[in-house]
Amino acid sequence: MKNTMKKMLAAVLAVIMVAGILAGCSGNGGSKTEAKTGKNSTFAYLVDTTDLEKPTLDLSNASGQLKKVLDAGVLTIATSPDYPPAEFVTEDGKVFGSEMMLAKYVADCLGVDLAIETMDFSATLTAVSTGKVDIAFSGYGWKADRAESYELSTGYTGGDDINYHTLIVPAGQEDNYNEFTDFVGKHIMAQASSLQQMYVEDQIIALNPDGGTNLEFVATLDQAVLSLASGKCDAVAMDGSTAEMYVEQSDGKFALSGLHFDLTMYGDYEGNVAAAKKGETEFIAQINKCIDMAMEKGYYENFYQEARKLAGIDDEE
Amino acid sequence: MGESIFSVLYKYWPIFLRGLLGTLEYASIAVAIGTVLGALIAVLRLSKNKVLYGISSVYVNVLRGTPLLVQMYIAYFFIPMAIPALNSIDKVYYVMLALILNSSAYVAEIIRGGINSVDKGQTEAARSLGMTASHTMFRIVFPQAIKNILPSLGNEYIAMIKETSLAGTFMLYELMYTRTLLANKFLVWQPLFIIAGIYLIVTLVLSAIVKKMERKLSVSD
Repeated sequence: MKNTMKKMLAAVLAVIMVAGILAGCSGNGGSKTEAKTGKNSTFAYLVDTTDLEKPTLDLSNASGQLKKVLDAGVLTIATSPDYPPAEFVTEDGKVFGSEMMLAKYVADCLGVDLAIETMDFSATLTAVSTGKVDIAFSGYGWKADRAESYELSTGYTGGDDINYHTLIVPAGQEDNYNEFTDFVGKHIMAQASSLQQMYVEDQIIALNPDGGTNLEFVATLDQAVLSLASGKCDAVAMDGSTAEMYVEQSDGKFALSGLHFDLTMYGDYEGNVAAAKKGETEFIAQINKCIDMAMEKGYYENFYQEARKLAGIDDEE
Repeated sequence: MGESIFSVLYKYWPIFLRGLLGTLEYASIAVAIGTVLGALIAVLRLSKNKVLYGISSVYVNVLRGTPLLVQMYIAYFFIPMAIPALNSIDKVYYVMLALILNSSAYVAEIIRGGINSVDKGQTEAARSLGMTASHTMFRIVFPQAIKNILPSLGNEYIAMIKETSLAGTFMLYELMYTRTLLANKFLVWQPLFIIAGIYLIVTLVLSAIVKKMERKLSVSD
């Protein structure tokens, strides 16, 4: 009995060790999504911002979060890399996307490095509140309740013609939807706390609050797409780039509704915003200056187009 | 709709392989270290000292009575909040910490249960033959207990392989994370079935090994 036991024990240990060694080959590389980017180094996935014009920031009297960032020499951001082209990961775990390029630009403006912490979307704002990261760029839209709990930056968008927001519907039904009122009373899905949730609420449900429109939230967009495929809902609201890709992937099962949500009604907060800890007004004010410059000079539009190519939404020229 | 499961598997098999290796790595480390830690906790749980017993009971009950995902969140967000110097540590260590502690609590109960399952008469007989308490434990009780413990540890490893899927929440490269990677390529349903298939194959193979082990260990009964 003793021998059998020893053999078994040896076998168990061997299995665990082999698994460990095998896994060792895979390394921790994948887990190290934290992509520290030196000021002087350029990464293929981040834009080279050295030649881009930067705003003059007065950082001499920095306090709070801003001082922390400057002292540490690193701007740490949180993102949920599941939202191409704004943020996404490639097979080797590198983080790409237009918002990541913007974050790199902001870090360069502040004269610090950029570190990216990736996590689930639901965790990104927790990371901001707990001080795990300095700021989060994760495709947020401006929302009243969000603005109450966080300091939100000004909005940024990659250009109205390509950075639009729409709904996809089952193929063949797109002709039934000629204006947003046609969606009243329908079952629509959108990602929880996304920009599209707000658009559906403001531009469809608000048309007729008693119209019986059923807006259902999903944690990730793929859940909504699966629901649309199985007939569980009538339409899914999403951003244009994503919509185009899903329609293309669907083998003719989905179609674009052709309607674009009106973004201009949101003024300064048109597009996406970044979120920092509540009360860090000085920090966000400096970041806003960088974002304003990126928008004014057309840098962000360029980031967005580059990111679309990287995500495979546009073919490389 | 879209590409078939097989074409996705064919195109992206290195991703799934890397995910599987990540899963095995995290589960192996968690159970290996968890076993050492769990053995210590089990000793405390069996102790006659009320304080040690109380502490170890709280430890086991808290870790077994709360969801692993909650433990991961707390480890990831609140340890560095309490000790800011730890903020620069890679997140893999926080997630692994949660996995190891969680596993240790389950292993502690496995070991305690295994030792308690040995008939009391064995201890009494050994002691009346003049063996010391530690002699009795290591020569008489433990060799019999291990027959119950080893298969249960195998099952804990199988359970941990499935539990590590929660690490994908923090974007650690394991099987469930491949879903995020491929959703970025707008492949939404195929990865789920591939991932489920891989988990199933791995757990079935390991279950068969555990069964075989159980049979061999029971030969002497």
